[in-house]
Amino acid sequence: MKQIEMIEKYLEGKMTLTEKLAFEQNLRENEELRSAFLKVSSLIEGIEHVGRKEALEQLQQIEANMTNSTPKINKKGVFYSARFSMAAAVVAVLVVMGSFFVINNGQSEPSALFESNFTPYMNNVNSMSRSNNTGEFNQRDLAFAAYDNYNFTEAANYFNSLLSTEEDASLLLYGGNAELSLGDTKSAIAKLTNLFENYDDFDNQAAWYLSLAHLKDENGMEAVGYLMYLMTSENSYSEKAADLFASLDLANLDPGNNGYPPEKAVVYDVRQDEIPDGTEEELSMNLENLESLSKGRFVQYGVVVADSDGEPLYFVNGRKLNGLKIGSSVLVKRIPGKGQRSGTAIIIGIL
Amino acid sequence: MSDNELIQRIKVGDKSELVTVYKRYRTEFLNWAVHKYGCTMDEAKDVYQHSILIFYEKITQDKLTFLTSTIKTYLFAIGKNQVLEKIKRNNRFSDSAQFEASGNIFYNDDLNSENENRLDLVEKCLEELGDPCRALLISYYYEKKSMLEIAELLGYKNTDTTKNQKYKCLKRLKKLFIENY
Repeated sequence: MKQIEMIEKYLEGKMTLTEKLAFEQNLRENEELRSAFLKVSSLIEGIEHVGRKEALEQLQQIEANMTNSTPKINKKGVFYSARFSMAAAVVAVLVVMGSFFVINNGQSEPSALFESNFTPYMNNVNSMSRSNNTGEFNQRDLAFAAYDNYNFTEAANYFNSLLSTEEDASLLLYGGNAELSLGDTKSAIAKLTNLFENYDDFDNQAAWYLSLAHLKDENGMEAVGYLMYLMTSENSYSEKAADLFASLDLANLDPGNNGYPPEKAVVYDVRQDEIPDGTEEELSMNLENLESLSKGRFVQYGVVVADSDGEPLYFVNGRKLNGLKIGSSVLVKRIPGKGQRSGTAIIIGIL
Repeated sequence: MSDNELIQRIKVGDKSELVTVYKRYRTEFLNWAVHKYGCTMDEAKDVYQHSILIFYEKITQDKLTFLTSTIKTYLFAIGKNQVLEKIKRNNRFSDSAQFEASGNIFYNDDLNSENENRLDLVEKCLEELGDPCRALLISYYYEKKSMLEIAELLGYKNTDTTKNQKYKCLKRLKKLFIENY
């Protein structure tokens, strides 16, 4: 493969993990490749920049036609100076390579964390009762009876058969739990995601079991998204979520298929020992909840704002990152938010 | 047309639908930015244009294929971040002026200005390269169009020809860039 094609393949995130590691190794060792890489990233970034500028000018033209006045020329850098593209982010990685902190506050394998945290959700919606006057149990009763007896294979069959004719929140929750107990994470994730996104009931339960299912599935980034959802509001899972979060090895989480490339962000708020006056109202982000959970688990938490789109993201550090302060430029990995909440940033290093 | 249909149309490259979106929420957005956040009308327009641009980029980058809320909710959420970002930047600029005055440089812009010089240079090289290379590269890298869409747009025989052409263009751009760097 030609060099330029390799570089593109890397930038577009289309390499396999092995290819990627080999490529990065090569980048560190091969001066010539590194120089070509920087050039190609600059070019792609430049092309994106020109395309964006052109698109913006088109919008300004529409506006001008609507107001019949001359279009306002947008001076680059006035308030939109630092659009940060994928290519630029990778350049930044190279620039800081070897000099940044890596946060590593955990030790356990993600799938082991599943085993130590998972217990099937206790049945408290369907007490065994004869639900009709004929004295027979209906299918629903049988499903829950099997579930209560830890006979998950049978329970999962009943739940699936019930779900094929009618869908409700408790069937999804218990069905998902039965499948999770059997190790069928794929089916469990489908049911629980449906529950989390489309039903008002059991949101916290769904988020908790989804975080565990994704951990077992080696998709740590998704798990973090759901844990952050639980940690940023007061609910019965907040503490458990914070414990689990604190034991994750954030720096080495597998980005999974939906991983975002590293990007630049600016620290908007950072808190440690003392809590300064709140700014989170402006961002409608609930840092108070993180504060109450932080004790003994993590030492720094706050908000960064992504350079590329101005999205505010929560961050939580298990180990203190010296020199992190409001206004610091950092390199982060983004995890999209769940259920309308803001997303999470994993801070890779201070730039 | 439903919001999700609208998004699909924009995704396949129908810019006129983006204009529809622009016009539909404009008045409400501008009023909101002016009254809620105290922006001037020009600032509000600036924020609105950037918000629409981000909306467009989310669609082309496949980060928004199906909306669970409405376009309007989504657009205003982007807008809110943009306004706050703007306020923050304004504050930071005045902060950094203060720090610099006291001999304490707090905010270092060198990296950004170097970056901008590089971007300007690429822009010049792209102009020199001219069409169809310029259009091809922008369609591929910024608008994230597929090879098939680009082939149709620029009249290439098939996707292989287009792909080949793209590499040639990028190579030529690289050469220009190195010569001028």
